[in-house]
Amino acid sequence: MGAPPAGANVTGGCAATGTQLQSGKTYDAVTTNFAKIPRVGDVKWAASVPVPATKRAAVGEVQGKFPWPIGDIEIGQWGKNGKQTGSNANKGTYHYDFPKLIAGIKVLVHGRDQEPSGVLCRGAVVVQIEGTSPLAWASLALTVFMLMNLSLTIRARKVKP
Amino acid sequence: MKYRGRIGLAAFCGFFVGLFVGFDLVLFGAIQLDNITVSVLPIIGLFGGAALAMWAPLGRKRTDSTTP
Repeated sequence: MGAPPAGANVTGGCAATGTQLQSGKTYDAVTTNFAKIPRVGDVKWAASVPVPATKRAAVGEVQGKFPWPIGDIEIGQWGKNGKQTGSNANKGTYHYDFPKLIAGIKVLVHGRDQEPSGVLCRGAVVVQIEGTSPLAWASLALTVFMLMNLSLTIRARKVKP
Repeated sequence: MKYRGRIGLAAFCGFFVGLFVGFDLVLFGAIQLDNITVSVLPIIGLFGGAALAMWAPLGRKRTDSTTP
């Protein structure tokens, strides 16, 4: 039930790779469906779409999937403000620093890129940050506390007839 | 003398037991954040807690339960 999705994860002919510089691991978006990354680090990335490098209105976004009823939450987007792009490939190095509170949580991150020519790329990957959140221990303590409360409340009490 | 569980309180506690068990599973990486279990566990806890209080109140004296 909690397993990452199986099989290839980018459809539509797009390509993307990222190398996590601290661990030295390289992830290919087409074949990767799970990535466990350090909480703080740098990633050297490159991505491309299978269209000519002409000025066009490509639209896309990256979202994180949360449990029902929250659903998808947007992490980033491009082209939704009407801004056009003229490139079909990009690369760079990105520094990230995630808060310790979200360590250990497995999040499904998915995205899409819609080109005016009809090319539609979609991709998904489960990302987990190394370590354990301090919230996990607080949650465990609260679980034990609420279990004790529950065991007390289900005890019988005398009711006058 | 009749005995009865605290149904409302047990449902309240059951809800939070389910909620925090869901949080535990997510925070320790046992299930994905978008797993439906996270949403379902508090509801199971709510009804489970109430059911426990209704049908299995602990500490009930068996002799009293048969008193007319």
